[in-house]
Amino acid sequence: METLFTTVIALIPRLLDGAVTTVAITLLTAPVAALLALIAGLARLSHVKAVAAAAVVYVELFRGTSLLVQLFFMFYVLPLIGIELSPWTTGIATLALNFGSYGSEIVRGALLAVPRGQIEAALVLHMPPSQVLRRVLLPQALPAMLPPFGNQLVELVKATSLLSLITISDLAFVGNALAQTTGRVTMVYVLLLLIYFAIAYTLTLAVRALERRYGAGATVAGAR
Amino acid sequence: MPTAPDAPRFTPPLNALKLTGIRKTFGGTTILSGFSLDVPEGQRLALIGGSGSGKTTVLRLIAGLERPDAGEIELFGRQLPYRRFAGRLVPDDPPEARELRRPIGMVFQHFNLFQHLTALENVIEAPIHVLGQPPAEARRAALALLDSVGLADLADRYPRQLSGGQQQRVAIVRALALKPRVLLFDEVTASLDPEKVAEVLAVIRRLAADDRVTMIIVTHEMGFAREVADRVVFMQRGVIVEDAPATAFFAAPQDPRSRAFLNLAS
Amino acid sequence: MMFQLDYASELLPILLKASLVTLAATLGGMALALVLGLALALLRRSPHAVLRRPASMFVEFVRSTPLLIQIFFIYYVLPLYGVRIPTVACGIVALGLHYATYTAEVYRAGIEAVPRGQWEAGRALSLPAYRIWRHIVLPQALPPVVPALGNYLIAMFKETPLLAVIGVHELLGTALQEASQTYRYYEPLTLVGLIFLAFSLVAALILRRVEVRLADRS
Repeated sequence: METLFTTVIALIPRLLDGAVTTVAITLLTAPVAALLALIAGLARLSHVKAVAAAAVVYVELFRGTSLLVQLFFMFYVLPLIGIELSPWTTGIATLALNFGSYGSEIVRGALLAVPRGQIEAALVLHMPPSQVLRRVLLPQALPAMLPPFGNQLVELVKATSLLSLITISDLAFVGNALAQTTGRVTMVYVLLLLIYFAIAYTLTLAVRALERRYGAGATVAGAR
Repeated sequence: MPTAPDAPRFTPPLNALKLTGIRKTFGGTTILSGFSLDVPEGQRLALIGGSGSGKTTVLRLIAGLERPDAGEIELFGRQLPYRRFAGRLVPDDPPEARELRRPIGMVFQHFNLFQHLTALENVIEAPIHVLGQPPAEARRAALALLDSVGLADLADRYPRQLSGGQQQRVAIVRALALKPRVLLFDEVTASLDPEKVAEVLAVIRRLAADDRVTMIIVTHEMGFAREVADRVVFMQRGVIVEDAPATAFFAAPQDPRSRAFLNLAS
Repeated sequence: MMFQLDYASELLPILLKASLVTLAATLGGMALALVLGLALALLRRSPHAVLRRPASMFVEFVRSTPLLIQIFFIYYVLPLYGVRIPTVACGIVALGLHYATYTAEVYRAGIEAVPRGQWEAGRALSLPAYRIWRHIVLPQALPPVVPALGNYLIAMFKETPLLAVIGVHELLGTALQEASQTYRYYEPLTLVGLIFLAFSLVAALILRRVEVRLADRS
C-alpha cells in the first residue's frame, strides 16, 4: 500500500498549485462579475431607453448562450478580428461577463423587492434619484442579494474549470495532465473532485456565516 | 396679469396651494376629474370622505408621488412641474423642481421609516444629505425634535424595534426636520392600534397650534378633524361635495351626502 | 477578417444536424435528472438516517464539484471498473447526475410547500406512506415546481457543449472539428452561439407560456 500513499504525496503539491490558480481566478473574477451585475442590473432599470436596451441585449446574449461557447469564441475569434488578449484575460473577462449577466437579475430582483413606500418616503424628503438609490434602495437590497450571490460564487468556482480548456493551468488542467502522465486516473480524479469540493464548501460556509451576520432576517441591531 | 401701477388692488392672502382642473385616472378609472382647491397659507384643512373618494390621491399629487393627467398645481404662487414617471424605479425630477417642492412635507399611513436606519438616522438623513447641514447640528436638532415627542430615549432604536405609534412620531419628526411650510398627513392613524392613536394625534395637535404651517389632513378621525381643522372639505367620487368652515360643517352639514357620511362616521 | 457567408451557409446544415445530438443529450440528461432528483428528494426526507445522510452528502458533493470533472470521471474512470458505455451515454449520465442534485432541491421546495394538514389528513385516514406520497403529496407538490424544473432544463442545455471534451459530436464539438479542418473559427463558433441563442429564446418563451398556464390553473 506504500505505492498508494507515495502517489498521493507525489500528486498533492502539483494539484495544490493548480488549486491556488483556481482560487485566484475565482477571487479575481468575483468582484468584476459583481460590479458588472450591479451596473447591468441598474442599467436595466434606467429611464434612458438605450441604456436599458443595451443591458437587456448584454444579459440575454450571455444568459442565452453557453459559457463554454463564449469562452471559445473569445479565445479563438477575438484574435482573428484584431483583439489580442492573454488566455488569463480572456478567461476572466468571459467568466465575469457570463456571471455578471446572471447576477444582474439578482440585483434587479432585489432592488424591485424593496417596498415602494421606502422610495416614496425618500421622494417626499426631496432626495434626488441617485441618492434614493445609493442611500435608501441599495442598502436595503444588498442583504437580499447575499444568498443568491453566495450560490453564484460556488457556481463560479465550478465554472473556472472550463478555463483549463483554453490552456490555463488551473486545478482541472493540472489534474487532467497528471491523469495522463501518471496513469493514476482514478486517484487523480478523486483527488480533483475532493479539492474542488473543499474549495466550494469552504466558500459555502463563509457565505453562510456572512449571511447570518448581515443577511436578510439578521437583526440589524445585532450589527451594532 | 398686467395692472396699472396705481390701480387699487385687492390682495388676497397668499395661497399656499392652488390646484386647478386636476384630472387623474388609474387604468381607466377616473379618480379626479377637474378637481380644484385653494388652500390659504396657515390653514388647517381636513380632507375627508369615504374610501375611493380621491382624498389620498389629492395628497399624493401635491407631494409629487403621482402625476396628474391634466391640470396645474401651484405652491406659493409657483407652478410645480410634473414629475417624470413612466417605467422608472425612482421617478425623476429636475433639480429645480425638487427645490420648488422643498416646502412640502408628508407623513404616510404606513410610516415608511427607512428600515436600515435608526430613528435618529431616519431624522437626520435628509437634513444632512439634502440640505447639507453639518452632521453635529442636524443631530442636535433631531434629538431636540425627538425629545419634543417623547422619543429621545429611543433615538438609537431601529423601526422594527418601535411600536406603530412610536414609528409614526418618528416619521412626523423626520418630516419636521426639513422645516416644511406645508405638511400633508395621509391617514396617519389608520394603521395604528386604537390605544396608540392618541399619542400621535397629540403631536399633530401641538403642531397645529403653530399657524405658520399649512396642513392638509386626510383622516377618518372626525373628532380630531373637528378639533384641529379650521376648514373641512368633504369629497365623494373625486369631487368636492361640501367645503365649509370646520365648526359650520360639523354643526350643520349642508349637503345630504355630508350628513349621511357624518352619521355613519360617528 | 470577414465573416464569410458562403462558408457559414455550408456549415449551417452540419451544425443543425449536430444540434440534434445536443437536444438528445439534453432530453436524456433531463429525464435522468427528473427521476434521480425525485429519488434523492424522497431519500432526503426518509425517516432513516442511513438513507437520509448519504443522499444529502451526495447532493452537497455533486453540487459543489464541476460538471467538467464529473464528465472526465465518468468517461475515464468507470471503464477501468468494467463499466463500458458509449460516449454519448457517459455525457448523459454526467448531466443527469449533476442536475439531479439541483432538481432534488426543487422537488424539496415543492414538497415542503404542501401544507402539513395534508399529511395529517392522510395519516388520519391511516393511508400507508406510499399512498400518501403518491396520491396526496406529490400531486400537489409537483405542478408548482414545473417552471423551476424548466429553468434547469435550459441551464442543462447550455452545458451540453462540455460533452465536446470527451468527443461527443454535439454542436460545439462538431463546430470545433470543422474549424480544425479549415482553420476558420469565426463562422463555426458564431453560428454555434447563434443557434444556442435561438434555442434559449424559444425555450424561454415556451417556459413563460407554461408558467402562465399553471398560474391560470391555480
